[in-house]
Amino acid sequence: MQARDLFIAAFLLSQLLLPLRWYALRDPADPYDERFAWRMFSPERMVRCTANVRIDGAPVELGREVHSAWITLVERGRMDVVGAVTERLCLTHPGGDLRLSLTCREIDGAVTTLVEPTTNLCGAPP
Amino acid sequence: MSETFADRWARFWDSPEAEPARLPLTRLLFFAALALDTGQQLVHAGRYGAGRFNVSHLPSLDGILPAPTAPGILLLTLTSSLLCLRLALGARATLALPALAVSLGAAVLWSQLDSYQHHYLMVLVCVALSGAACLTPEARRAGEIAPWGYKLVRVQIAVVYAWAAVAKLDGRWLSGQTLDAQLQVEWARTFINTLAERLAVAPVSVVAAGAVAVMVVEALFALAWLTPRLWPLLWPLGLLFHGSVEALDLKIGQFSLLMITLYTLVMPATLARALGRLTPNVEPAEGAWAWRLGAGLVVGALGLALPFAQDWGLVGLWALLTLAVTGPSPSAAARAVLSAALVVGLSRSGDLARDYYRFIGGDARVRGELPAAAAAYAEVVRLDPDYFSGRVRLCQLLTAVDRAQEAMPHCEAALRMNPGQPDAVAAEAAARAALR
Repeated sequence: MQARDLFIAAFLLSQLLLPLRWYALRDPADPYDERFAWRMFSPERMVRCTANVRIDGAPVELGREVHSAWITLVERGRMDVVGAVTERLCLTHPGGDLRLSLTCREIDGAVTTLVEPTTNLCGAPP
Repeated sequence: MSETFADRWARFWDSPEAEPARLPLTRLLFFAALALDTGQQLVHAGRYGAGRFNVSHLPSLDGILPAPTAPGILLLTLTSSLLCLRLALGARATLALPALAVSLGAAVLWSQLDSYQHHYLMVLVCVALSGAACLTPEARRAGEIAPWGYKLVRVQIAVVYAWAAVAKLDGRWLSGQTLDAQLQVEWARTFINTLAERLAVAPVSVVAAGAVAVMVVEALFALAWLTPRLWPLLWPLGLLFHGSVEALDLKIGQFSLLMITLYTLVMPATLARALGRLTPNVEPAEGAWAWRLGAGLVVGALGLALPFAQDWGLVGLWALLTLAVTGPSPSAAARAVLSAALVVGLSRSGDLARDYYRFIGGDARVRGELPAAAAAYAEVVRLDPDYFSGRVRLCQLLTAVDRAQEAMPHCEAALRMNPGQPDAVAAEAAARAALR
């Protein structure tokens, strides 16, 4: 097999498997991350999440911690970003008790709670 | 004797193009459109690395990868734009295309801040064409993109349509609910309501019919991209489909424009031949090195005319890339200089550069990084001395960082532009108080 054929085969295989991952291996705890799946204009894209963050009981304004573009991704329920933001908060507030509630409303009105404020996330990240 | 899979595979990728004129025309139009799209991303570069926070598209690598910075993304974006124009104007693809794939790929994949699916698609197109420019000896010698690269792009587009159709096999799409929520343009709403009235149905039923039609069209397009006999039908329908998406203002950036340029790959042969005469030839490999050297120097010098705070790394990179990808001929040197001049012109057009700094300053201010915010607003005022809000904000920020003496001229300038404006009056009063 020539290098060209290997290149084409690898390229096409990636384009079969990467989108398939969303359908077959999607993490139920991270249902709105549609990157690489070619799901243009999907219902998941329309989800709107509300994040309520508290450290030691006091509300945290995320806009003072990270760029507003990251908050937009938190509001789309992107759990990679949610995890990184909470890690950042734990670093900037060492020893703090970080509680996060992340509730998402889907286009059909269904409400999903992705993170409940029951655990101190600086003790155990989501 | 029956044909094996290997025979069919080889026949598909090796068979000559039915109409070769489509390929250089696609190259010209696609890379020109990509240069424009990439250039328009400059304004967003300021988000990167803000607060030293980032999540890449490969989060497992975040511990190893350095966080992106605004100047770093600016460099990648400007360089991608330059390389796009060089490729559109006939630069030898062997080096220029992989370099573009790397710079565009890095800019897109370095951070989830860029989650536009069309940017990911453009990276894939560049990777596919890079393979065709590098893995075929004849193409390498000619500095061309081997025709199989364009075939791979056609297959990739078919794959995108197929998955897009699969994604729409969802009750929330087929019911019209999802499309209805995304249709905000007034003319579309009026059209839907009028049609619903005439048909005596609910407006959402009209939208549902449209949603089903979109799903079916995408599935048919997937098939048509792989069936040359259907291309005469696919080309006008594809242009109409993406033109409609653009007219509906569905917030997808330049996706429609880029897709329309890729439809050149299925354009009617007669039209492609007629327009193909406009396409530039690939630059020669042989000639006097002085042209290449001269082009490198002029392009490097043009880098100094960019409106951003001067970066010698960028100037050096542009000069080196120009040396590497430009053919040694007067025409190639002129094309290199024209490409750089266009990138500089684009970055100086409108409020692009000013807004790049304004967004950096605005974000730094909100996060309490006041010295950084003041530095960014100083650039805003440098680029647009008559920008009233920029003057007021710089006055406020300089006062806040105990530089009221420097703040005063900005407040005075703002008050000259807009006498008695309450924000400017308050900012000047605060600066005066700080000076006492």
